[in-house]
Amino acid sequence: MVKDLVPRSVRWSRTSDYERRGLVEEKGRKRNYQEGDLFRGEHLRKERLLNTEEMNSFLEVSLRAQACPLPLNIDTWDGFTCPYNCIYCYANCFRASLYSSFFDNARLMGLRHCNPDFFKRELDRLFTNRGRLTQAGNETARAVAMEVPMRFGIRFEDFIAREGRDQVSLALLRYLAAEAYPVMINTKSALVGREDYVRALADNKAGAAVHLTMITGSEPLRRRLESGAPSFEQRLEACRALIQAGVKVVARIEPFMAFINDDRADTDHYIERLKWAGVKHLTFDTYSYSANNPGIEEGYFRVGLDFRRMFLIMSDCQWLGSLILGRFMDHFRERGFSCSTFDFGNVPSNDSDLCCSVDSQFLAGGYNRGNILTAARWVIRQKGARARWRDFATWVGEGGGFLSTTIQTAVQRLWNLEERNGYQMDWIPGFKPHGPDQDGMMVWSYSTGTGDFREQMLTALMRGEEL
Amino acid sequence: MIIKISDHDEAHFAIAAGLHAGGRFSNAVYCKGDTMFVANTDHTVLVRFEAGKAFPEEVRFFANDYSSNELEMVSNGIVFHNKGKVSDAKILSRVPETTFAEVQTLYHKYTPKRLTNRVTLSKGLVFEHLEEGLSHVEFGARGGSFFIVQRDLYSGRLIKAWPKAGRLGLFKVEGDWSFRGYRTSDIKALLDFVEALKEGALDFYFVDPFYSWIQNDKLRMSGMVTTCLYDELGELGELGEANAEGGDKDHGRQKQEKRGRVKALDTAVERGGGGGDRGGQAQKGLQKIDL
Repeated sequence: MVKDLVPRSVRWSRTSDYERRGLVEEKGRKRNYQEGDLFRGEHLRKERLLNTEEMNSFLEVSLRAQACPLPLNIDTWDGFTCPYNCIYCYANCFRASLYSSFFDNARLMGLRHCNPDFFKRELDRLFTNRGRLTQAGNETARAVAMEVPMRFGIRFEDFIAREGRDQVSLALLRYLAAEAYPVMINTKSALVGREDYVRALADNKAGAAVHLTMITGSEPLRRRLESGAPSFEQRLEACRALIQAGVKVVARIEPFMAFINDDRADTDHYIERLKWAGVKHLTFDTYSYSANNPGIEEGYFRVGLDFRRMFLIMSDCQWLGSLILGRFMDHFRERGFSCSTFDFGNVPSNDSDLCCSVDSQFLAGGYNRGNILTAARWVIRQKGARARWRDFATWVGEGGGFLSTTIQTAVQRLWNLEERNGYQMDWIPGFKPHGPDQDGMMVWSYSTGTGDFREQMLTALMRGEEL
Repeated sequence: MIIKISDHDEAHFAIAAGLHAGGRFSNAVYCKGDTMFVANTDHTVLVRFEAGKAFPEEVRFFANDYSSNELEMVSNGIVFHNKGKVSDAKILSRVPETTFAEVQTLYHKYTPKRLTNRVTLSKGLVFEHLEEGLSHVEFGARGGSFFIVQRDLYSGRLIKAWPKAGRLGLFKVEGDWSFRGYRTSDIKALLDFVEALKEGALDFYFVDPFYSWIQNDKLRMSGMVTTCLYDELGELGELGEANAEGGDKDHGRQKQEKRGRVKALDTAVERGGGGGDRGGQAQKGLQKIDL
């Protein structure tokens, strides 16, 4: 219905307003900069240089920890641009903008990685606090003390082809297996299906899970969207190898893009192939609002895809993107898959408490309870009763507490509707605010009987009413 | 010998604290006889003052170490004698390797034989339309008009201001010269200092492409600030036409052609592009002009 309606309202955009340009306009550094030095009597070249060979910043708590149950990011590889060259990815733009703003030699950086001796030394030090929350100081130390799974692949692809030769991520996986520290991987690489990687994951007694991002079952479309990444079939082979070794695998469709990767025949083929590989769980999300970038739009245009229409539906019009995603997930559920999403409009129907669909691996262990998505799931579990912040905070405390007071404040602001973004409680259908309690905190309840505001808005749109 | 610093001289040390300090060390102060020098660690600024009270021997120290007006040079550094309510303390600090004599030689080397291209600037005049957060500021003059430019490479925004002649009675332009870039932090620190001492203006003499001479006779202050070079220096793009009356012969034809769409500028500032994309497109049309 939506797919019939939208093309009548939003026309296919055949042209790009943007002149040909790179993925990002590099910014911030003056070219060939020199400063006069009175003592030397001449202009001297002044440069701020990035270490192009090695990276030391490999572990951090995500800036989105206020909305994420598994926010402990670990990355072994870095580069100015990712070789997979996915046209929908905004990380390349962010990295290029960041590095070119602060460093004069960012363009010279190819791929760089962390030194295994360095990260082992750093982790040895951090692991002395495992299980000793009172000893842990900052957010990272607290996350390690709580044994929140370390998650590869958030900032960069850590299983690129060169990793197969250099084996930096493999060294870290083996280290984590030896230390029995839980690990999760986000990747598009088929390398994780290679025997040594499978072994390093399967041998981890604390639990391991792999998110294989596969956003379409159509190989021609895959080549247009992710020209440098392994094929769908190569990734399926990796899934199969991991599952046969007992490693939890979740297929990831992120971004889900209406009119681009939602074709019915491709989706059914996708489902058939997932079943062949043994995949039973999926996680989804809509297109990121952060990726509204002229360079990205240009990338879509070059391969003949309409960015604007997709972005309007999936991101700008968040309720509509959320509704379409919900229907798409139902299509998978009806075929026997468990599905979850980070999209707030679909939180109630998630089959897992952890939106990454990894409950069986990590729910009983350490995870970040103190985030707004987990708060929403907690409110749903109150079965219609009034849910108070004080009780939620107590429950968070029983699981190790908030990772920091900064994060606690951020979650509290989302709970109280003091922040207007995509992670607030009133984006969730069935959630009702009841005003503040005696502590000044919003009281919430959840009910399935109140209707879905997204459907109501769609109905109004179809009637031609103003929203 | 313990030397007691006068209030007058102590006030002048403030400029050392106010100048931007890069690297590990802070800015340095050198004193001897009736002369004081302040130099920043990046060697872009050197300022000379007349001391209120003559220094009987050479004194030099890093500005951040200054903790008492009673100090004493010793063989391995400088000692600050701090008097407290409960106890007294002596603090030994390291001193700059460069000596007073070396700094004085440097000062004389750059002292111009003839002072030309003068513009009197105050903080209010320079920063009325400009942003202290942008790393560089560019000055240029043509036909009696003086131009100040800042560029935000991040957003593509270009700011060009041309202070009105005679404003506050402080403004006077002599001579023509093409754009020269300076670190905003250096210019701001110098103008902050003269403003703090109730002498709100500083004469800038654009004597050399490598540096400008600065002087305030009332404060008995003089010195120099070096220029910076970069590829974008002097690029004005659409804003270049704003000074069409300035007589730039090389670009006169272009200006004639565009004059029809250049609004008469009766304001003191124009901004190029409002942000990322528009600024980026504005930058594509940049031309290098030699004012």
